[in-house]
Amino acid sequence: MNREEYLEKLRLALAQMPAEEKERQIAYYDELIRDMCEDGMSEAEAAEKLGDPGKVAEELLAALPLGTLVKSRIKSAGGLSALTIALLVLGFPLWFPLLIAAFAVVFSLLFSLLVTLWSLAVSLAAVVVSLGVAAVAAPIGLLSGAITGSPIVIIGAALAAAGLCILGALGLPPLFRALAKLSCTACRGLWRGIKTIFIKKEN
Amino acid sequence: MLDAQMKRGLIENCVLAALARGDSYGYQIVKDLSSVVAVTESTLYPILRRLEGGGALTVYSVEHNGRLRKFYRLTPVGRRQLESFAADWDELAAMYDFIREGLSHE
Repeated sequence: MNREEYLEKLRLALAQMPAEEKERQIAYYDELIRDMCEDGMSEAEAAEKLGDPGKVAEELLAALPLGTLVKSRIKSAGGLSALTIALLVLGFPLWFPLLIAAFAVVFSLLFSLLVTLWSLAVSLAAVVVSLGVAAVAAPIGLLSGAITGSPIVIIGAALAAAGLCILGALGLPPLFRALAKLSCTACRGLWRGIKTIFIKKEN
Repeated sequence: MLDAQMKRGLIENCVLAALARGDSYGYQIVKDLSSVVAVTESTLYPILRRLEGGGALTVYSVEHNGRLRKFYRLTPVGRRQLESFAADWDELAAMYDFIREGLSHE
Protein backbone atom coordinates (compact mmCIF):
# COMPACT_ATOMS: atom_id res chain seq x y z
CA MET A 1 0.00 0.00 0.00
CA ASN A 2 1.52 3.35 -0.96
CA ARG A 3 1.08 6.65 0.81
CA GLU A 4 -1.92 7.84 -1.18
CA GLU A 5 -3.75 4.55 -0.85
CA TYR A 6 -3.12 4.52 2.87
CA LEU A 7 -4.41 8.06 3.34
CA GLU A 8 -7.45 7.36 1.17
CA LYS A 9 -8.35 4.31 3.23
CA LEU A 10 -7.89 6.31 6.41
CA ARG A 11 -10.07 9.10 5.02
CA LEU A 12 -12.86 6.66 4.18
CA ALA A 13 -12.67 4.97 7.57
CA LEU A 14 -12.83 8.36 9.29
CA ALA A 15 -15.89 9.45 7.28
CA GLN A 16 -17.89 10.13 10.44
CA MET A 17 -15.24 12.26 12.09
CA PRO A 18 -15.79 16.06 12.06
CA ALA A 19 -14.13 17.41 8.87
CA GLU A 20 -11.62 19.67 10.59
CA GLU A 21 -10.38 16.98 12.93
CA LYS A 22 -10.27 14.46 10.09
CA GLU A 23 -8.05 16.74 7.96
CA ARG A 24 -5.70 17.18 10.91
CA GLN A 25 -5.41 13.42 11.26
CA ILE A 26 -4.81 12.88 7.55
CA ALA A 27 -2.16 15.62 7.55
CA TYR A 28 -0.48 14.00 10.55
CA TYR A 29 -0.30 10.57 8.88
CA ASP A 30 0.76 12.15 5.58
CA GLU A 31 3.64 13.90 7.33
CA LEU A 32 4.60 10.71 9.18
CA ILE A 33 4.77 8.60 6.00
CA ARG A 34 6.83 11.26 4.22
CA ASP A 35 9.17 11.55 7.21
CA MET A 36 9.56 7.78 7.37
CA CYS A 37 10.38 7.73 3.66
CA GLU A 38 13.01 10.42 4.17
CA ASP A 39 14.37 8.18 6.90
CA GLY A 40 14.94 5.45 4.31
CA MET A 41 11.72 3.44 4.42
CA SER A 42 9.60 2.71 1.39
CA GLU A 43 6.00 3.94 1.39
CA ALA A 44 4.82 0.34 1.79
CA GLU A 45 7.08 -0.21 4.78
CA ALA A 46 5.89 3.02 6.37
CA ALA A 47 2.26 2.02 5.82
CA GLU A 48 2.98 -1.37 7.35
CA LYS A 49 4.60 0.21 10.42
CA LEU A 50 1.66 2.55 10.97
CA GLY A 51 -0.74 -0.39 10.97
CA ASP A 52 -4.00 -1.17 9.25
CA PRO A 53 -5.79 2.14 8.46
CA GLY A 54 -9.14 0.64 9.46
CA LYS A 55 -7.82 -0.26 12.91
CA VAL A 56 -6.06 3.08 13.28
CA ALA A 57 -9.31 4.87 12.41
CA GLU A 58 -11.24 2.77 14.90
CA GLU A 59 -8.86 3.80 17.67
CA LEU A 60 -9.02 7.44 16.67
CA LEU A 61 -12.82 7.40 16.67
CA ALA A 62 -13.01 5.61 20.02
CA ALA A 63 -10.75 8.25 21.54
CA LEU A 64 -13.18 11.04 20.66
CA PRO A 65 -15.40 12.29 23.49
CA LEU A 66 -18.90 10.88 23.60
CA GLY A 67 -20.48 14.25 22.75
CA THR A 68 -18.38 14.64 19.62
CA LEU A 69 -19.20 11.09 18.55
CA VAL A 70 -22.92 11.68 18.79
CA LYS A 71 -22.78 15.11 17.16
CA SER A 72 -20.52 14.03 14.31
CA ARG A 73 -22.72 11.04 13.66
CA ILE A 74 -25.78 13.21 13.23
CA LYS A 75 -23.88 15.71 11.08
CA SER A 76 -21.87 13.30 8.94
CA ALA A 77 -24.86 11.05 8.28
CA GLY A 78 -26.21 13.69 5.90
CA GLY A 79 -28.79 10.97 5.29
CA LEU A 80 -31.10 12.41 7.89
CA SER A 81 -33.84 13.25 5.43
CA ALA A 82 -36.49 15.87 6.07
CA LEU A 83 -38.92 13.03 6.68
CA THR A 84 -36.70 11.45 9.32
CA ILE A 85 -36.26 14.75 11.07
CA ALA A 86 -40.00 15.45 10.92
CA LEU A 87 -40.73 12.01 12.34
CA LEU A 88 -38.14 12.49 15.06
CA VAL A 89 -39.65 15.84 16.03
CA LEU A 90 -43.26 14.66 15.81
CA GLY A 91 -42.46 11.43 17.57
CA PHE A 92 -40.60 13.17 20.36
CA PRO A 93 -43.45 12.82 22.89
CA LEU A 94 -43.41 9.10 22.11
CA TRP A 95 -39.75 8.13 21.88
CA PHE A 96 -38.37 10.42 24.53
CA PRO A 97 -40.40 8.92 27.41
CA LEU A 98 -39.64 5.45 26.04
CA LEU A 99 -35.92 6.20 26.05
CA ILE A 100 -36.10 7.60 29.57
CA ALA A 101 -38.14 4.58 30.66
CA ALA A 102 -35.56 2.17 29.21
CA PHE A 103 -32.76 3.92 31.07
CA ALA A 104 -34.89 4.01 34.22
CA VAL A 105 -35.58 0.27 34.03
CA VAL A 106 -31.92 -0.63 33.65
CA PHE A 107 -30.90 1.82 36.32
CA SER A 108 -33.59 0.81 38.82
CA LEU A 109 -32.90 -2.91 38.33
CA LEU A 110 -29.26 -2.34 39.09
CA PHE A 111 -30.08 0.04 41.92
CA SER A 112 -32.63 -2.26 43.59
CA LEU A 113 -30.28 -5.23 43.32
CA LEU A 114 -27.55 -3.24 45.03
CA VAL A 115 -29.94 -1.89 47.67
CA THR A 116 -31.17 -5.42 48.42
CA LEU A 117 -27.63 -6.71 48.84
CA TRP A 118 -26.69 -3.76 51.04
CA SER A 119 -29.77 -4.12 53.25
CA LEU A 120 -29.11 -7.83 53.64
CA ALA A 121 -25.58 -7.02 54.73
CA VAL A 122 -26.82 -4.36 57.14
CA SER A 123 -29.36 -6.73 58.72
CA LEU A 124 -26.63 -9.33 59.05
CA ALA A 125 -24.57 -6.72 60.86
CA ALA A 126 -27.57 -5.99 63.11
CA VAL A 127 -27.88 -9.70 63.94
CA VAL A 128 -24.18 -9.80 64.82
CA VAL A 129 -24.56 -6.75 67.08
CA SER A 130 -27.62 -8.18 68.85
CA LEU A 131 -25.80 -11.47 69.40
CA GLY A 132 -23.03 -9.49 71.04
CA VAL A 133 -25.51 -7.59 73.21
CA ALA A 134 -27.22 -10.85 74.18
CA ALA A 135 -23.89 -12.47 75.07
CA VAL A 136 -23.09 -9.59 77.42
CA ALA A 137 -26.61 -9.02 78.78
CA ALA A 138 -27.41 -12.62 79.64
CA PRO A 139 -24.75 -13.10 82.35
CA ILE A 140 -25.49 -9.62 83.77
CA GLY A 141 -29.19 -10.40 83.85
CA LEU A 142 -28.48 -13.69 85.54
CA LEU A 143 -26.30 -12.06 88.22
CA SER A 144 -28.76 -9.25 88.93
CA GLY A 145 -31.61 -11.69 89.06
CA ALA A 146 -33.44 -10.11 86.14
CA ILE A 147 -33.31 -13.42 84.29
CA THR A 148 -34.43 -16.58 85.97
CA GLY A 149 -33.79 -20.08 84.75
CA SER A 150 -31.09 -22.67 84.58
CA PRO A 151 -27.74 -20.78 84.87
CA ILE A 152 -25.99 -23.45 82.78
CA VAL A 153 -28.44 -23.07 79.91
CA ILE A 154 -28.18 -19.26 80.04
CA ILE A 155 -24.38 -19.21 80.24
CA GLY A 156 -24.23 -21.78 77.44
CA ALA A 157 -26.51 -19.68 75.28
CA ALA A 158 -24.48 -16.55 76.04
CA LEU A 159 -21.26 -18.33 75.05
CA ALA A 160 -22.83 -19.56 71.85
CA ALA A 161 -24.04 -16.03 71.08
CA ALA A 162 -20.55 -14.63 71.79
CA GLY A 163 -18.99 -17.21 69.48
CA LEU A 164 -21.43 -16.45 66.66
CA CYS A 165 -20.92 -12.71 67.21
CA ILE A 166 -17.13 -12.99 66.90
CA LEU A 167 -17.45 -15.20 63.84
CA GLY A 168 -19.87 -12.74 62.28
CA ALA A 169 -17.70 -9.74 63.15
CA LEU A 170 -14.76 -11.39 61.40
CA GLY A 171 -16.82 -12.04 58.29
CA LEU A 172 -18.47 -8.61 58.07
CA PRO A 173 -15.56 -6.39 56.92
CA PRO A 174 -14.71 -8.58 53.90
CA LEU A 175 -18.41 -8.79 53.08
CA PHE A 176 -18.81 -5.01 53.10
CA ARG A 177 -15.59 -4.52 51.17
CA ALA A 178 -16.74 -6.99 48.52
CA LEU A 179 -20.10 -5.22 48.32
CA ALA A 180 -18.48 -1.80 47.91
CA LYS A 181 -16.29 -3.18 45.15
CA LEU A 182 -19.29 -4.76 43.46
CA SER A 183 -21.21 -1.47 43.59
CA CYS A 184 -18.31 0.43 42.04
CA THR A 185 -17.86 -2.14 39.29
CA ALA A 186 -21.57 -2.16 38.53
CA CYS A 187 -21.74 1.64 38.20
CA ARG A 188 -18.62 1.80 36.06
CA GLY A 189 -19.92 -1.06 33.92
CA LEU A 190 -23.18 0.79 33.33
CA TRP A 191 -21.33 3.94 32.18
CA ARG A 192 -19.02 1.94 29.92
CA GLY A 193 -22.03 0.16 28.49
CA ILE A 194 -23.68 3.45 27.58
CA LYS A 195 -20.50 4.68 25.89
CA THR A 196 -19.99 1.47 23.91
CA ILE A 197 -23.48 1.73 22.50
CA PHE A 198 -22.60 5.10 20.98
CA ILE A 199 -19.13 4.04 19.80
CA LYS A 200 -20.48 0.92 18.15
CA LYS A 201 -23.08 2.95 16.33
CA GLU A 202 -20.35 5.34 15.30
CA ASN A 203 -18.18 2.57 13.91
CA MET B 1 2.75 -4.14 34.90
CA LEU B 2 2.09 -0.42 35.16
CA ASP B 3 -1.56 0.46 35.16
CA ALA B 4 -2.84 2.26 32.08
CA GLN B 5 -3.50 5.57 33.81
CA MET B 6 0.02 5.76 35.22
CA LYS B 7 1.60 4.75 31.92
CA ARG B 8 -0.33 7.44 30.07
CA GLY B 9 0.86 10.08 32.50
CA LEU B 10 4.44 8.88 32.16
CA ILE B 11 4.35 8.92 28.36
CA GLU B 12 2.77 12.36 28.37
CA ASN B 13 5.64 13.67 30.46
CA CYS B 14 8.18 11.86 28.28
CA VAL B 15 6.75 13.80 25.33
CA LEU B 16 7.10 17.05 27.29
CA ALA B 17 10.65 16.08 28.22
CA ALA B 18 11.46 15.37 24.57
CA LEU B 19 10.25 18.87 23.71
CA ALA B 20 12.18 20.39 26.62
CA ARG B 21 15.31 19.41 24.66
CA GLY B 22 14.09 21.51 21.74
CA ASP B 23 11.19 21.86 19.30
CA SER B 24 10.40 18.69 17.44
CA TYR B 25 7.95 17.02 15.04
CA GLY B 26 5.86 13.84 15.19
CA TYR B 27 8.18 11.24 13.72
CA GLN B 28 11.22 12.66 15.51
CA ILE B 29 9.40 12.48 18.85
CA VAL B 30 8.49 8.84 18.25
CA LYS B 31 12.13 8.10 17.44
CA ASP B 32 13.42 10.01 20.48
CA LEU B 33 11.05 8.18 22.80
CA SER B 34 11.70 4.74 21.29
CA SER B 35 14.79 4.24 23.45
CA VAL B 36 12.77 4.54 26.67
CA VAL B 37 9.22 3.58 25.74
CA ALA B 38 7.57 2.06 22.67
CA VAL B 39 5.11 4.73 21.60
CA THR B 40 3.39 4.13 18.29
CA GLU B 41 2.64 6.96 15.91
CA SER B 42 -1.10 6.49 16.54
CA THR B 43 -0.76 6.73 20.31
CA LEU B 44 1.37 9.85 20.07
CA TYR B 45 -1.20 11.91 18.19
CA PRO B 46 -3.91 11.98 20.90
CA ILE B 47 -1.25 12.80 23.48
CA LEU B 48 -0.01 15.76 21.43
CA ARG B 49 -3.58 16.95 20.95
CA ARG B 50 -4.35 16.70 24.63
CA LEU B 51 -1.19 18.57 25.55
CA GLU B 52 -1.97 21.23 22.96
CA GLY B 53 -5.51 21.53 24.30
CA GLY B 54 -4.15 22.00 27.81
CA GLY B 55 -1.79 24.73 26.61
CA ALA B 56 1.32 22.67 27.39
CA LEU B 57 2.59 23.02 23.85
CA THR B 58 2.03 25.11 20.75
CA VAL B 59 2.09 24.00 17.13
CA TYR B 60 3.63 25.76 14.14
CA SER B 61 4.41 24.69 10.59
CA VAL B 62 7.78 24.82 8.92
CA GLU B 63 8.36 24.28 5.23
CA HIS B 64 10.48 21.25 4.57
CA ASN B 65 11.23 19.71 1.14
CA GLY B 66 8.30 21.49 -0.45
CA ARG B 67 5.80 20.40 2.20
CA LEU B 68 4.74 21.53 5.64
CA ARG B 69 6.02 19.87 8.76
CA LYS B 70 4.28 20.46 12.09
CA PHE B 71 6.60 21.38 14.92
CA TYR B 72 5.67 21.28 18.59
CA ARG B 73 7.09 23.70 21.13
CA LEU B 74 6.95 23.45 24.92
CA THR B 75 5.13 26.41 26.56
CA PRO B 76 5.80 27.76 30.07
CA VAL B 77 2.64 25.87 31.13
CA GLY B 78 4.13 22.63 29.78
CA ARG B 79 7.43 23.34 31.47
CA ARG B 80 5.67 23.85 34.83
CA GLN B 81 3.70 20.62 34.32
CA LEU B 82 6.95 18.75 33.70
CA GLU B 83 8.58 20.31 36.76
CA SER B 84 5.68 19.44 39.04
CA PHE B 85 5.67 15.89 37.67
CA ALA B 86 9.36 15.54 38.46
CA ALA B 87 8.74 16.89 41.97
CA ASP B 88 5.94 14.35 42.55
CA TRP B 89 8.27 11.70 41.29
CA ASP B 90 10.93 12.61 43.86
CA GLU B 91 8.36 11.87 46.55
CA LEU B 92 7.56 8.54 44.92
CA ALA B 93 11.26 7.71 44.68
CA ALA B 94 11.61 8.26 48.44
CA MET B 95 8.71 5.88 49.08
CA TYR B 96 10.23 3.38 46.68
CA ASP B 97 13.55 3.46 48.55
CA PHE B 98 11.68 2.92 51.81
CA ILE B 99 9.91 -0.12 50.32
CA ARG B 100 13.16 -1.60 49.00
CA GLU B 101 14.81 -1.10 52.36
CA GLY B 102 11.92 -2.83 54.11
CA LEU B 103 12.24 -5.77 51.74
CA SER B 104 15.97 -6.14 52.35
CA HIS B 105 15.32 -6.52 56.11
CA GLU B 106 13.65 -9.87 55.47
